[in-house]
Amino acid sequence: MNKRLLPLLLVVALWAQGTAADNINIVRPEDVGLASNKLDNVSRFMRGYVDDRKMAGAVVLIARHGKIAYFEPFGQADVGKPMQRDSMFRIASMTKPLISVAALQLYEEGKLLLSDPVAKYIPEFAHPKVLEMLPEGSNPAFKLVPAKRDITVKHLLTHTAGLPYDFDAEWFPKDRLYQQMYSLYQDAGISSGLYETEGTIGDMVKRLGKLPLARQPGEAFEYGMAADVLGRVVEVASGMKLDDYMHEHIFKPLKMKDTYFFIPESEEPRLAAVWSSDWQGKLERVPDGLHREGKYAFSPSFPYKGPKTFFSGGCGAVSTAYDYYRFAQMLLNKGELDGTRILSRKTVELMTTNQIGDMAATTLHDEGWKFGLGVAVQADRAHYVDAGDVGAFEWAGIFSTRFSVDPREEKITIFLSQTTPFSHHFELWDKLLILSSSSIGD
Amino acid sequence: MNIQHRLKVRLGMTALMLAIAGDAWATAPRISAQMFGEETHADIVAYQSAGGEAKTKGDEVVALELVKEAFAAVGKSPVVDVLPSAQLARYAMTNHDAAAMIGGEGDIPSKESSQNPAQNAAVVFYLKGDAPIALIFAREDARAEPLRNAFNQGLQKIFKNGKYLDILEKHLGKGHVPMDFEKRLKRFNPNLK
Repeated sequence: MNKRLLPLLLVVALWAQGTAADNINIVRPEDVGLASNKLDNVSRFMRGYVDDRKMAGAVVLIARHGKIAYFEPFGQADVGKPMQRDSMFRIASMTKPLISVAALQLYEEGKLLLSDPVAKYIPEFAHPKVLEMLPEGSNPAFKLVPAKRDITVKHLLTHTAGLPYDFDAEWFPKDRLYQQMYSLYQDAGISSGLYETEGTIGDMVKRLGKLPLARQPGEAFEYGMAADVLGRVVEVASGMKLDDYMHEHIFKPLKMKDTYFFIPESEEPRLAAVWSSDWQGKLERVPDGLHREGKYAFSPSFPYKGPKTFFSGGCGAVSTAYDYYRFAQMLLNKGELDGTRILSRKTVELMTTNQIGDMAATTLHDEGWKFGLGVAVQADRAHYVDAGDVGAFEWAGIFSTRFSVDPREEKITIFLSQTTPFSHHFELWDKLLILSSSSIGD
Repeated sequence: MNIQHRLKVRLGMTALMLAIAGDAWATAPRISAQMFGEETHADIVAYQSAGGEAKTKGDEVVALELVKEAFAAVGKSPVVDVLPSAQLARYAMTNHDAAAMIGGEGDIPSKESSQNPAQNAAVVFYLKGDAPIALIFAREDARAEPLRNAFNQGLQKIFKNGKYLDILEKHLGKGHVPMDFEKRLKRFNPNLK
């Protein structure tokens, strides 16, 4: 080889490596009806949060009419490491829509019905009991009453199965029902999936199935462990381990090459750190291992340490903004992306319309939001007036991640950071979504 | 028949037809007891700690096997349900869903109270380290007394015929059962011969 060419080849090789992750087509905002000057406000807004040390960093992606028009990293991913477009994030509860699509694929294949009782797949859920708290001072503090009906697959998809999270006890300290559920979950070793967990999801869900429910199935929106149970239903109905199923049927066909349950060692440097923020400028990197905020426990190292056998359908996935965009665009396209169909149009329509009747999806909003199958759906603009359209659907993750799909405007907004606690997320997201909506220029 | 009467008859017939049709519209229940079997009510409940040390879990498995074997020795096979939470096991017994529970130190009534017929009675049958494990019987439960008699008899039997030691050796390894195990156990249960 000509020795004089060697430096040139090295430069070309390095350039190619550096741009591999950037090999994503980003269009001029005006080409898709977005205003560049308005999108500059998004950048200013995000930089402000980073400069004020409210969060360490984030990635924001905004797409319209099937094309990405805005895709920017901000701040740092880890100490001394700038955030990159292809940085990876613990998407936590944004795993739930992924698992919901898996269940709906099996529904389309005739392998399960939404009306199927969960006990058909996980026998421990047969004959469920519901926990009712007795007046304070009673011993025992609760009584168990038979559930009026069995839990169905639809109850899991709509969070109406009566399965809360253990950390609801931290968020609602005066609610005796949540305190009792926390105590039972602790007894039974029920893992939220947000920390390194021994055993498999099948082991854990069997124990969960023998515990009482917090609500009568189908009678209350109770956000929590349902997607973990759904993940196990996917395993049983498909005959595959959840990570294998997700890889074969969703991640691979959608070319979501950076989405995993447990991140490969080679990709670990791309995973953003989790940061604890008081929203006043005190920002600290949360070290590996179990971290407790009262009754809320998480471990930043769960995607790369521990036995790596517990595939949490509720919050176990790690992904990138671009990968999640591909998933969201598939939903916006009614089930298809780049010629690959993941779900039928009819099923996506079912998934993104209200399935909870008069109940309200109250986890991220007070009123005005309903729940489809795995995603919240905006029902009106009277209650949630800041941004979005009727029919927009979304979900979030507890480390401050969020996505929104607005079918009317064919617009997708994705925000990924790794900041705790979650309570600060609401204001940031609301403002970001307003800026995203305000950038519509046609 | 006058018009009013005819109208009444027609209305009556229509109501009847609607009622029949309504019945025809009602579907059979999608989920029935036959689908999963009737709910079985446990005679005995136990609990297994989750995420605990393997050693603790091993003790729970031994205790469960000893109970089953003791009943089998007298030709009984009560339904035993292993719950994931001690609170639920205690609830099942106090609520008379079960007649007995396998429990540890915190669950066993004190010696004084166990002599009181109004209190739960307990039969210690195993040691987890130095801590007693007992089969605790619900009070005011018709199933409890016969269960207790059967268990006492069965326990004596497997203690005598060597089955008890076999179970311990199966789980702890041959020659790994502490020499003084029997002596210490008898301190909690002097009736064992």
